[in-house]
Parts: sequence; structure tokens; C-alpha cells
Amino acid sequence: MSGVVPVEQFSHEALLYAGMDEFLDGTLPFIREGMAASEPILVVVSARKIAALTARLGADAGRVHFKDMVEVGANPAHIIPAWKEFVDAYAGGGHPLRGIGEPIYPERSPVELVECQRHEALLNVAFDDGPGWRLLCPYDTTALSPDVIEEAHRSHPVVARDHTYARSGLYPEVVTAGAPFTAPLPEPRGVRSTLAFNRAGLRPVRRLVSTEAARAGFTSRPIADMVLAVNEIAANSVQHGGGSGTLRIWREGDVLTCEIRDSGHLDDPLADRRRPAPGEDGGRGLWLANQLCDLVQVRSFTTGTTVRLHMHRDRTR
Amino acid sequence: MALIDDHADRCVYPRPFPDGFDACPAYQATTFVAADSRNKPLGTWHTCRHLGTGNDLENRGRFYPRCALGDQQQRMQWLAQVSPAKLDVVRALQAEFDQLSQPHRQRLFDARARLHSGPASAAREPELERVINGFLTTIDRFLDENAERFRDVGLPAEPLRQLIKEWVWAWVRTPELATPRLNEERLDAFKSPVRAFLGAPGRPIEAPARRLWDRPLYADTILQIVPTLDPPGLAMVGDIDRSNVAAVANALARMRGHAGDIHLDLSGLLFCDLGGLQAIVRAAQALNAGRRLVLHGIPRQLERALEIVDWAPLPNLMIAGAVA
Repeated sequence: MSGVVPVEQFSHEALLYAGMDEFLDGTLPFIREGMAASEPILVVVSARKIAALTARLGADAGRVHFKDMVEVGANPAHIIPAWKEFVDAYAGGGHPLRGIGEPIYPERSPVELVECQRHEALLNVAFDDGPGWRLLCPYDTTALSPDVIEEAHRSHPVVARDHTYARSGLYPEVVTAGAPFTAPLPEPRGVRSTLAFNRAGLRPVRRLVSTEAARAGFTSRPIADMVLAVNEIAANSVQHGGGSGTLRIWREGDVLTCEIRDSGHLDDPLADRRRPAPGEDGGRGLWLANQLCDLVQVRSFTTGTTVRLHMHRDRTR
Repeated sequence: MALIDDHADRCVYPRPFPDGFDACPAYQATTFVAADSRNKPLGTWHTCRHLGTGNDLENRGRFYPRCALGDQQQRMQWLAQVSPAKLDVVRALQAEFDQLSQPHRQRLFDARARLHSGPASAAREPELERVINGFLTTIDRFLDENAERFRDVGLPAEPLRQLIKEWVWAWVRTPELATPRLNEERLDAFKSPVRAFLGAPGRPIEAPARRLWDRPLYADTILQIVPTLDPPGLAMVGDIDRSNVAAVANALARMRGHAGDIHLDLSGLLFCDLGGLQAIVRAAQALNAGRRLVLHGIPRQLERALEIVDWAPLPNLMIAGAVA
């Protein structure tokens, strides 16, 4: 068994499997093939699957890096920086790399699922012109809905099933970098507060976020986190997004959402996936927001940019 | 003696406070039921937890509306110590409790009026006890459901439960219109800055550095930069954001001319954005080797923001002690 794509470039492959046995059956040969070629390997899946893989690999498990997807990618925006770190650390070693990453699992909320699908599409942009490596993304066909499987065919140029790797007919000929940016976001059902802001000052923005988060039952630390995150995004609007913007706040179940809209345009689809270099001025707002919040959705059109910051009330971190 | 108002702790805001009042950053709404001389409720007003009466000894014993937190600077210092987020949590809890307890307070008011009207009658006590127990059960449930939020703001549920229970009984048994005094011993269960959440007099808030308030280096509607004497440096009081970060950077640059370490008293800081943190870090980096920028009383949340953006630690930047 071997890949259909030469490893001089990034190869993003989906693995369709049904249940744990097929998962192991599909991933173990991929891992052993990499070991035989002395390739550095990083596997980011659930703790349960890590346990199953290490049990089957036995002594060889020590040659594979494992990370829990729930820890790395609860917020899907953290996954690309994690892969970037792996690629940067090992790409110069003279061997190609390979990875297994399962960001999409049935416990994902609808909003998380949307962002995971955006993440899968962004991977193609993020590693397009970098060093060659293979990333295998397992999809459980028994647990995920058919449209999620169909979407996997759109975001992965190669799809594997039963040890057969084939080109996906649904993968677009030309990858448009901006495409993952423009999927519309659903309108919220009930907006609690709306506030227009501009250069005159962001203190009212901070006050409103703090008050609404407290009313939603949050404790002081997530409130302060949300206030700082919204402040930075709103500051971006004032500085780069036409000088003004609109804040809207709503709740859905235990999730509080703050949305900032402005008339600016973000042309870098990876704007929220880059770790800012130490000493770099500016450009930290989206990074910080992704560290402070549970989920950040960014959409940009020529007519304007929307950023939604989501925070769950029962945060454990 | 001239009628000069020299009370720095005078509450300068219009009272009764209108709905949605937010002009005072330390305002903590609580509902106040006014009653006539026969304990019949006249209506409900918003008042502030920190509002009391001061006795104007200089002015022949007249009273004035006094803020228990102190003057404007002390109010800001208190707010920074408890953190604006915690005050918002307390405000939200208070509003939820007011709504939840409204029918109970009404029943309690009526029962108390009957108890204190006419000759003392033991027959009325059971009825009163039923009303009170109903109220206390509701309070118990509210405290249980929100235990994490109460703990977060420094008001652990158990002592709070006891305090409220005693207060409700004392209130019922007091025929006067005045609200009963809080039991000082019970209040000792709560730490100093958060005691003010309960309307208890706190100890004066001390800043880590002695400040020269009479001539701030810079002031706008959300921030004051004040020189400090001991140790020498600057105190930042209020919010630092993009609107005033240039003033912060300027003030810090001017300090570079002085010899030795520069001390920044951040214990009155209510908010600082990334640009503000960057200005502070830049100022530290601009110092010659051997000189340091020492941060005093940095709020925890800022320390965390520093970690997330990978700026700390720096050789010229020292964090001298954080407040909760």
C-alpha cells in the first residue's frame, strides 16, 4: 500500500472507516509504513484511540508522537498551529513526515462541526507550498452523517477506504483560498444587546460584554477573558475595519456569543491560525481571542468582516 | 463656620438612582422598600449598597450622603481590587435575587406589619414563621444553584446563608423602619475588599505606592496617570486602551530620564488591552541593563494575557506581586 501522491508536497487524505476495528485496520499500516521509512509521526486522535493504537503497536509506540485531539483541538483553530509546530520541528530532518488527525467526531456541536470543516479546508491552504508530508484524517462513517462524509470528499484530494486510496472526484480543481472564509453564518434567534462603536472609545463595548456575561451566569475569569477578546477584535475594527463596527450579544443554551461586524476586509484566510512571532507588533487580536474563547468564527466578504466569539459557561480550562 | 462641602466621600450622583444607572463605576444596586409609619410599603426604590449617611460635625450635625468606599480615587482602587468583572457578577446576582425574592418580601412585609400592629400576640408568630421559612428555602436554593458564582466573588455560601438568615429574623423583629445592623462577627467570614459587597464598612484601600493626586501627569475620562513618590514611578488608575496608549507610552518614556528602577503601580488598573501591555513591555526593553521596570499590584488577568502573547519574562521587567 502506498500513497497516490508523491511526498514532495502536502497530501491531505481522508480515511473512511466504520468502527474501531476498521480505524485500527486503516491507521496501523499507515503508521508502520512511516516507521519503516524512519518518518517522524504525530497522531492526534481521542484518548481512547491513542490507547488502542499504543496497545497494538507495543514497543514501537514509543516511536510515534501522540496527542489528545480534545486537548489540542477543542477549539479547531488550534489544530493548524499544532501541525505547523510539528512540521517546523521535523521537516529539516531529511525524511518526509506523516500525521493522523481526527478533528471531526460525533460529540462536536453544530458550530464546532462547521469550524472543523473550515479547518479541514484551510489545511490545504496552510501547507500548500510547504515541505512534503502526508496527513490522514479518519472519518467514522457509522457515527457521522452522510453530508459530513460528503464534505470530507470536498476538502480532501485523496480519500481512502478499505486500503484503497483514490482521488476524490469532489475535490475542486483549483483551491480558492478564500472559499472557506465565505460560508454564511446563521442568524441568531434572539439578540440580547446591540451596540454601535467607533473611534470615540471602546469602554461601552467592554462594559456591555462584562454585564451580559455576568447576567449569563459566568464567573469573573471567563468574563475578563471575553472582555479582553472582544476589546481586541473591536479595536481591529476601529483600526483596520473602517473605523467603526457593531457588537451583538446573544445566548444559545449555555453558550454566550459576542459578534463584531465591520466594513473591513480580511484577505488572509489564515489570519486566525498564525501564532504571532515574539516581538511582532499588532496582529495578535485573533490569536488572543482563540486562546481566550472556546470558539472563534471569522468570515470575511468584500462587503465586510464578521467575527463571532463563543464562550461556554461550564468551562473547565 | 463656612458651609463648605469638604466631604470627599460625598455621593455626587442623583438619588434615587434611576433604572439602568451606570454613571458610578462602583454602583451596586439594591432595592429598598420604603414604608409608612405603620409599616405599609410605599414603593420600591433603587439605592446603592455603598450609600450611607455621614455626619457633618463641622456643620452642626447635618447629614450628607456618604459613599462607604471613600472618595473617587478610593472607589476606583476598591473596584480594581475586587475587579470590575466580579462587581458585575455581584450586580447580576443581586438583580436575580431581587426578582426571585420580590413576592416573598411582599408577604414578609405584610406579616411584619401585622406582628407589630396592635397588641403583641403569640398567635401571629407561626404564620410569620411559615412566611420566613418559605423565604429562606428560596434563598437556600438560590445560594445552592449559584454556589460557584458566590465563591468566585469571595462570598462563600455557608457564612452567607447564616448572615442572611439572621438578617431576615432581625428585620422581622425590628419594629423600626431602620434596617438592622449587620452582625460584625458574621462579617469577619468575608475578606476585606469583598465585605463591601454586603454593605459592610471595609478597611481603607491602600495603594502600594504613595501617590501625588493633586497633579496627575495625564487624565482623560477613563484613565489617570499619577506620579508616585515612594517608590518613585507612576500609578495607572482606570482603563488603558487604544484611545490613551500613546499617553501611557509618553509618560513611561519620560520616566527613563530618572535614575534607578521605575515602579509602576497597577493596583488601580481596571483594564489594559494588548497595546497597553505592549507599551509597558517596550518601556522595559528600552531600559539600560541593570535597570528594571517593576510592576506592582498587577491584576491576575493581565499577567495571563502577558503569558498568552509570549512577552514575559523579560530581564528588565519584574512583577512584584499580584492581587486576586
